[in-house]
Amino acid sequence: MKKIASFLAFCLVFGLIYWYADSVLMLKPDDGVKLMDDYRGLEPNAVDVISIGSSHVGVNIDPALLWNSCGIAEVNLWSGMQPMWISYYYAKEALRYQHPRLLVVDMYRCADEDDYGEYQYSVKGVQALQPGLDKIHAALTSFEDWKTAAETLWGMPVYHERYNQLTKEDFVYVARERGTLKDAGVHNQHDIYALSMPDYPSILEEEPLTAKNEEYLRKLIKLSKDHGIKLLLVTIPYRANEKEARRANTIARIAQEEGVAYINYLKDLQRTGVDPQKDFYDTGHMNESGVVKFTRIIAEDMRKHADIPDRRDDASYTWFGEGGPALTAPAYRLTEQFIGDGATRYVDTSTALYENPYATWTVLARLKPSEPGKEGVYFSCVSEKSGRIHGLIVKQTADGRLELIWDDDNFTFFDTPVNEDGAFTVAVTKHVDTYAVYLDGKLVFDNIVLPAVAYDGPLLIGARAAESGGKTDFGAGQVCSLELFMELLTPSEISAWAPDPLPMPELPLGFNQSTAELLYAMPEQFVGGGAYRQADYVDTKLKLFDDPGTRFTLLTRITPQYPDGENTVFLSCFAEEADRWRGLLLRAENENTLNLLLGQIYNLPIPYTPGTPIDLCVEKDLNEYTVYINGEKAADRVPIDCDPYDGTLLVGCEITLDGALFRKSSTHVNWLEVYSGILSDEEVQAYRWQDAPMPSELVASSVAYRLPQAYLGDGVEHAIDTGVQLFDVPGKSWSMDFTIMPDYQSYYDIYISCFNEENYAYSGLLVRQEDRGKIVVSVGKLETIEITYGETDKRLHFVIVKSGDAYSVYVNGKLRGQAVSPAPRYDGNLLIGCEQQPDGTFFRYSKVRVLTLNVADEVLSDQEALRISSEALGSGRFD
Amino acid sequence: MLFNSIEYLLFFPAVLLIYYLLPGKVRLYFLLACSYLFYMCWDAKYALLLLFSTAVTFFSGLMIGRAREKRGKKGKGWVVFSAVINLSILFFFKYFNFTLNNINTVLDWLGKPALHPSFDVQLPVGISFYIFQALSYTFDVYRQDVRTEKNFFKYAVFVSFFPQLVAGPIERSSHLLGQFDTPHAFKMENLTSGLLKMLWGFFLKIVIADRAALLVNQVFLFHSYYSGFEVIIAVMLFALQIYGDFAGYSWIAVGTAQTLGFSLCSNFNQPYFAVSVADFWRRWHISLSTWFRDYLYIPLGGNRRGKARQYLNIMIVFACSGLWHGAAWTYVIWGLLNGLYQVMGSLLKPKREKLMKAAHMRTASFSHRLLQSIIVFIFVDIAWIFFRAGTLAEALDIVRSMFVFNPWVLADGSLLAMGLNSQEWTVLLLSIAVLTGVSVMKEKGVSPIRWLFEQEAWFRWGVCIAAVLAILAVGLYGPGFNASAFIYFQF
Repeated sequence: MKKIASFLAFCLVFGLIYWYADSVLMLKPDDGVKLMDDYRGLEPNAVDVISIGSSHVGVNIDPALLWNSCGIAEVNLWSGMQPMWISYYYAKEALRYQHPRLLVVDMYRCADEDDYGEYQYSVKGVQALQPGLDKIHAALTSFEDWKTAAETLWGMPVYHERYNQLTKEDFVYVARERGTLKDAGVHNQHDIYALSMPDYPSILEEEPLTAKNEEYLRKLIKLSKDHGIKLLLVTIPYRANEKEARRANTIARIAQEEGVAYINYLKDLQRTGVDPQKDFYDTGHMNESGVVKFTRIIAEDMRKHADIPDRRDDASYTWFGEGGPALTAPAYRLTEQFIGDGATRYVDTSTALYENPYATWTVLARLKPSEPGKEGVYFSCVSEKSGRIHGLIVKQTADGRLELIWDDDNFTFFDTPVNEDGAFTVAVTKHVDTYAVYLDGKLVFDNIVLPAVAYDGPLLIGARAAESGGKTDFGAGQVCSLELFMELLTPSEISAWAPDPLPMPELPLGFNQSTAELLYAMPEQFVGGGAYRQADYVDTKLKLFDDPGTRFTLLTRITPQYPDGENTVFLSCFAEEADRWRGLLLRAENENTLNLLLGQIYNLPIPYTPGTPIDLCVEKDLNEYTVYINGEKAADRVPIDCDPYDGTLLVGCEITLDGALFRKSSTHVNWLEVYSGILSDEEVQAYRWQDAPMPSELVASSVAYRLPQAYLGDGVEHAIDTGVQLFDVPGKSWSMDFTIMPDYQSYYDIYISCFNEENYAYSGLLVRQEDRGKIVVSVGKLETIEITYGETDKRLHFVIVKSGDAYSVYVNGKLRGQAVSPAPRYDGNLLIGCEQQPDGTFFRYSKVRVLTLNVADEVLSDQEALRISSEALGSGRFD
Repeated sequence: MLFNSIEYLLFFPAVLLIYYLLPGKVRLYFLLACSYLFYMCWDAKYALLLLFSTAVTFFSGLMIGRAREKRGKKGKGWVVFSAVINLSILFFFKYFNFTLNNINTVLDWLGKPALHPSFDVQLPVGISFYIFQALSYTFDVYRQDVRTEKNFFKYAVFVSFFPQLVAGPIERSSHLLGQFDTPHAFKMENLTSGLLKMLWGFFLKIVIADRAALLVNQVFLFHSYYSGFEVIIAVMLFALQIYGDFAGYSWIAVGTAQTLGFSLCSNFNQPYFAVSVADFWRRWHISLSTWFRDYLYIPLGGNRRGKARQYLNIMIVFACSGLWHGAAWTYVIWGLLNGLYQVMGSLLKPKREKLMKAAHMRTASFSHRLLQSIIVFIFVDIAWIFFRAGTLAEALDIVRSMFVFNPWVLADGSLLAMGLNSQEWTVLLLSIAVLTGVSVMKEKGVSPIRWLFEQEAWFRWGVCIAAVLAILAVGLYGPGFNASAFIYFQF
């Protein structure tokens, strides 16, 4: 007894383990086995329509489309090449679990002439059934040989060889989540296989069905009647031969005899809209386009033959399981509010809506209209070819209404809902080729069926794509929120959509400003070039083009020269991107013409005279420019598009995209002011042009000086530091006169010096005894003027006039030499009787006699200089 | 029906269940009916032949007994009668076509027209087995090794007992007939042990033999495309195939009988562990070997009439054995080869022993036994070529093609192009490992089944369940394959 009990326990354990092993090894095709398994897991009363048949059902009827577009809860219980008798047993088993309102059975295989189907299809069909008498009958009916039927029923002989093809799915199959039926639509065929079909309507004769097929057809009819379920027999379109077409006529007769509905779609192709030349990918299966058409028509026919409700918004309906699918993350979400300017601003979401023309999506947006009269797009994803558009545009009309445009022939208007905050919600859904529109959560428009055209452009907010490649139809409204879901949201989800408020965007310069406000005034003049300046350019930190919708007024006075050639840059807020130059650039093109480059390369030439100031005003109002030159309009509201550039306005140089400064220029900008917003014409005309203060570095100190008494150098330590800086500002002008009593025999004596002794920077003024009877006056950068005198010349009266960089040297009433030599800045003082080293120490003390020395800021004329230098004895003109 | 068929899987449990549910006295008739039903699944009409052979041998037995009882004679005439009838049946059904073909060959050589009878002779399945089994009864009665059986039904069950009807083991009346005298009570040990033996038999057959057959069939069919090591491997695998096939069947037969309470003789005893060809034949198809020994070799004089006669007897026995296996010269050559091996083995034995002694070979060591086994395997395997090949020319071709030096085929992927992919190879090699392990256990005198029963329940159950599932998963059966018919069903 104990042994028997042990044996039985062993059998139980073995049975459990065998059951699991069998579930691992068993065939799990997506048709047949898995479908029926999932079906059996449905909740009661979950299904309104059951469609049964071969792959003609599985591929050509899309349950997802039936649900999403029509709210029909339908399942396809199909298996490849399903014979009539398997359809009968499927129906019998299906009706044990559900009580649908309609049973749809495809008659493709009923018109077949084989009494036994192909082995593998029969196996799939049989193995999908639950163990029981029906399964045994189905097996015995499906196979000629009872042994094959027995092997199929057992299963292991059929699929044990799968041991070397197992995947994770096999091992977890028993615990898998069921419920794939709603996604069971096969929707991925785009190929086209053109079929030439016989003229089915003209085939009127009948051909007898095989006895077996007729037997099971009648059994099926009886089954449906016994269960009180409406039966709809169909022949789904396929390339039937004439015999099959005749058998379809026989089926029609039998259906009529039995009082059941039968639709032979082969004779009704036109009504279906299915085009055999375009809508099939092989002789029996439709591609995406065909499936959409056929599913829609069969949905209509289902509703004609049974009372099938629209279940979509029935919250109690659990067709999709517990409360339906959760809202998934949006494929795109606007991160800050968008405010259009009606001219330039838009957002490119980089998300294409029509890349797959049959895609399903939902766009939800919260919109705030702009003032009436401002027509423009809220959002769009539309292609335009030869003037015809396809896609979707949601826009505000001039009279403030909401317009939705799909193409030139399909558009609709709605009154914009009025809510407290002025905003309203619009949702547009697209499932394959069917659209619906919701306003403030309510369905206002649906079942718009339109052929979808592929387009890989992105969803745009605030504009739409123009055929030329740019953007057009800019909107001025506000998009407070926008989300895109790549799935079809239910009406409840749409109604419940309430996104968190988005931050306001940073608005562009001058946005919507009615009056101009001063943003920047350059504190001092810019005189470029020269190492004396701490900064050799000015960065105003103003971003004038970071948004195409900026609005500003720039006023500047410049004194153009051409010292650096083509690299003479006055102002730049300019992107040096090859083939995409944009912004603002003011520079000298040549000795007499300036270039003003604006927007996406608009070039305004401005003639100039070197040294003569020019007053320039540039206004940018969104994408229109107005330019005034010396008060006269040179360009009036010229439309120039400009892509964004977030560089700043620079004075005296340019900058590369990498941030490297270049073309530092020796230019002179006298005045610069920038306003946000636009000055009116009157304001520009009334504008007071002026020069900003010169930089302190460029203000020269006074050189006025008078030697109080004659100087006699001792050659050792005695010298006079006048405290006067002759070269603190390059180009400084002055005049000096002095009288010396030269020693004919001496040499290398220093009379006066204001000389930079720094290596390789020798410059300034140096008057020294070069040799017997020769005095050399070095000016500027070592330009020398030699003064020779005789042994009898006891006194020499010098006058040196410096006018900018030009020097003139007069001695005893004669002009002895002239030179032009720019000298760099030198902070040293004018010395008498010595020189000064770079470290500040005096050296070369000289035994010289300087009787008088006068220095003045004025520049003496030639006449005066001659006169003064001809005066004898130590009194200069300043006495 | 084949053992590895769905019919048998339905037939056997039904028979088992009903057998034990029936009262004891009815069981015999039930077994008889089941056995004839089993046989008639092959071809119903040949059940009459079985019945005829049964009747002839039963009647002969009766007559021999009566002659002895009534007239004090041995009844030799009835032995002759029984032998002539049964061997005639065997000859007609098995060798008629063969004989005719050979006659026609001679006629053709003589330029005479061939003979074409108007009928076609088909070979009834299992005829070689049940004829020999029935004949053995006649001989045993004549030799008084068994009493005359007076119950026809009991005798009929003995001849037709379904587990061993179509492919042995060829049972002796002294061993099996008496087991039908009394009904057997149900014993769990018999059931479990019998099922385990059946399991082992299925393992040998559908996991090893049918898998090896995939490669063997390919190489033998397309032997001109293969050479060297490829052929050697195929020939080695054929040795494995034929062992797995035949031994597997035998184990299923033994196991089936045990579940019903009957004991059949063991037919194989680790034959490839044999240390000589003679030893091989003491381990291989033991029931047939002993039949030939007892009913042909010994009556011919055995080894009692000098060496020359002994060797002649050996050759005659193995020629007959070859012919018993198949009606073709290749089988005869195979048999003669095996006989020749034994004759040569015997002739060379003194020299061999002298050589081994001179070389100080450790004849009792494992390595020596291993070497002997390998050598025996090689000889036996070469002989198997003639057994497997369709014609003599094909066999010689295959032998010749083995002498090509190409060991690289073992590494360059060629092995995967011979009918078995890598997974199949893996399963085969693992199975051979299991087979080797169990064979070593048995060779050492350890009964694997007894050893298993000595383990804890969890281990026993685990092994059994794993074995069943493994066989179900990796066995070659079902519609995916042409289930290779049990080779010995032709005889």
